[in-house]
Amino acid sequence: MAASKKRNSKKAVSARTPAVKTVKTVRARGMPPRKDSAGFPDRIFAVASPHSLGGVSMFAQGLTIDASNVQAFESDEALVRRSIARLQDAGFEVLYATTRTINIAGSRATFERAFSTRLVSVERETIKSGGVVGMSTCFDVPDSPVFGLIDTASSNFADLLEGVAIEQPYALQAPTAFPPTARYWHLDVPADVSLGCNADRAHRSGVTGLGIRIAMVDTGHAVHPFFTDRGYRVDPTLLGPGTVDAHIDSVGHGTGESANIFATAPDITLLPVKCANASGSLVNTTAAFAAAAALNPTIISCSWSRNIMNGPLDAAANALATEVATAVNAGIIVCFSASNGGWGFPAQMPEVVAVGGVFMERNGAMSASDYASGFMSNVYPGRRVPDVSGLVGMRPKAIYIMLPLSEGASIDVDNAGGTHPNGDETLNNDGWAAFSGTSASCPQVAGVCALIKQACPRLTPAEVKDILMRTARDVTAGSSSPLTGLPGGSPAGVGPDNATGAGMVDAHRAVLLAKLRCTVIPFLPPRLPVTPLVPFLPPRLPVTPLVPFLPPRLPVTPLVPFLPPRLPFGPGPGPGPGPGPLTQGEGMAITPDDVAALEQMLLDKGSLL
Amino acid sequence: MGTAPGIVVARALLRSAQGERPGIDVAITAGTVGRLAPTPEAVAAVAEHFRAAGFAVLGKPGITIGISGSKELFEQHFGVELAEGNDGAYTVRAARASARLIDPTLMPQDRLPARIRQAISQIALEAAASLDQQPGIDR
Repeated sequence: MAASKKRNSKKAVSARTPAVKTVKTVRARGMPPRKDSAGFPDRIFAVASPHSLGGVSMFAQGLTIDASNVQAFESDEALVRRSIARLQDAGFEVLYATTRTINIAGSRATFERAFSTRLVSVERETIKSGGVVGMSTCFDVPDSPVFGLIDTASSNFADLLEGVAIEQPYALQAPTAFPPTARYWHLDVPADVSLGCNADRAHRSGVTGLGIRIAMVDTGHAVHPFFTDRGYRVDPTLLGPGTVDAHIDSVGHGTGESANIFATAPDITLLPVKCANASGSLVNTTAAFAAAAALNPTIISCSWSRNIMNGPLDAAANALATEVATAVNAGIIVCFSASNGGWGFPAQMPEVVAVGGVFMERNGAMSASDYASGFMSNVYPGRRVPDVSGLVGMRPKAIYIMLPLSEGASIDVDNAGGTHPNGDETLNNDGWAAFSGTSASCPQVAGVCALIKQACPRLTPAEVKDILMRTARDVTAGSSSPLTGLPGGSPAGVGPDNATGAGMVDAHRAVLLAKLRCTVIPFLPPRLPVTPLVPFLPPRLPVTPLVPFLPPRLPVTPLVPFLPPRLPFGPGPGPGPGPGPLTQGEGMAITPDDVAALEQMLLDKGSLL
Repeated sequence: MGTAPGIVVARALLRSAQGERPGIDVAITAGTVGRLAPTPEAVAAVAEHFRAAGFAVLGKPGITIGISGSKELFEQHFGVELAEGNDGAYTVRAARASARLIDPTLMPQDRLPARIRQAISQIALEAAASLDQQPGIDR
């Protein structure tokens, strides 16, 4: 309790603290502290308090320090300076000081000598990273009425200090389902991302991704109240080769980016496949991808890439390309991020849904993200990357979408603090961090693919991609990221371009078109024997006989005949005035609301279909 | 946090039933990958070869066959020296004089039995990849 009060007190006034010479020390993350023969670390941290002007020690039992009385615990600045000097003379490092407290570090021997006391170590229960309860080593003074408090009354510091509190292990801040506040323009999940992708209206029409399974090959997935409190469906993490600890995501990337999927498709089932080793590096991604494909998901989302500017592909890329092509050939939709300033591969593969980035302003205006890649592939002639885009921040760091992750995960720490756009202005252990990149847009689009597949399950990966691109909102401003060999990036313009592909994904329009495709293109393959087609294959017959086979599959005629009132308005699958050849599982019925929306779409964009 | 034993993972990319090399003779796409399938006999023979040599065969063998094993096993079986990068990915650091090193992810096949060598187009080590939350650069 006392330590907590001091921490808050220091934070509140440190900005106007007189300059004090401090010693900065840095220990590499992950290195265990050195310990002496008795098991004490070589540096024990503590907070010393010079005598308070109010005459009452801040360590007095039963005291509650708050804004109304904190002034009473101010100390005379000269006293603080004398205290610092004597502490340094006694061998302590002075790390930081305010007019109330002085942070110090020293060895066990230094503490015991300076304060004429004795320290002991005690194992106490604490909450560690990930909410795991475990034992931690704490330090105490025997017979002290307050745990960890050193009484200085009988020491050489009696005239300067009213006490010294030994720092204790703090529980990492347990994350909550609610994101921290941030003062800069950013997006929250799921609401803002859903809105930006125009998924809210699809959700309200009942299309939420229910029944669709999305595998995500990434750094893993950690339990977080963002997911559990909302009841999102997440299967146990499948470990790829060379990975361990299925319940840990030490990077935070997979956990955070998966929130983008749920933002656009809240009812999907997520199948996390981990491909990060214990140090957080991506390893054996091809094997992990193959393992994901073996789960037979509807969609695989991958927010990682290799930077391959020119062909021919190396052997490793050929192996990955084979796995990707095999998955698509099996009917799995494969989404890859286009990269952030790299020539993203496998996003370059023609059968992949390559996802780029669009930045959305507070007023809804959209422009190409200068963080996301956009280019024409040198490996696959004529192949544009990306196909379509999702929401991505801007340079320098694309700190844009507040995402949940394990408290203290690498991204939580690396993006913490600072001032936007160079930092996310959140704590380094709060289980939230703002980040994006095409890592974020890819799962957003994967979620939209799930909506499309729910609306029309029989669509092939190529047909889903076609719908994504036809229904995307054109983005005409901004440029994509500079790349090696493309220093200015690619400018956005009217129509499809290299900056954002077809533009910003639009879930609502995509779902409508998927429903329409399911309705106007009968589902025939199981009923049609394949053999009758043989006589019509070249070279035995001229080309013209193929024509009679086109109308039933591809309605070339104007769409007018398919517009209301001729469209089936059935209440859904089952008996009644349903949509003719459609049966349950083939697609969702078009509702009167859908018809109205389709009419509006046709008015807005006549070439949509 | 635990640690995984240091394993190396590679993928054998088999020749098609017609002898084509995927990605070299024929572009690998969803449209071509079907006809690039190797013969079942070739798949079985290659998988059995690596199992017998002590490798673990990952997943269901097909056009590609994933194998994993210790660094020492790879080095001994293929006659190469592997290096582990800071990113956790392995590359071929040195090969015997008889094996040309043109791609650091490519394993030489000259030590493999002739019938296995003829069935395989390439054997590739897993390559490093970057998360696309950060700037896309080669590691």
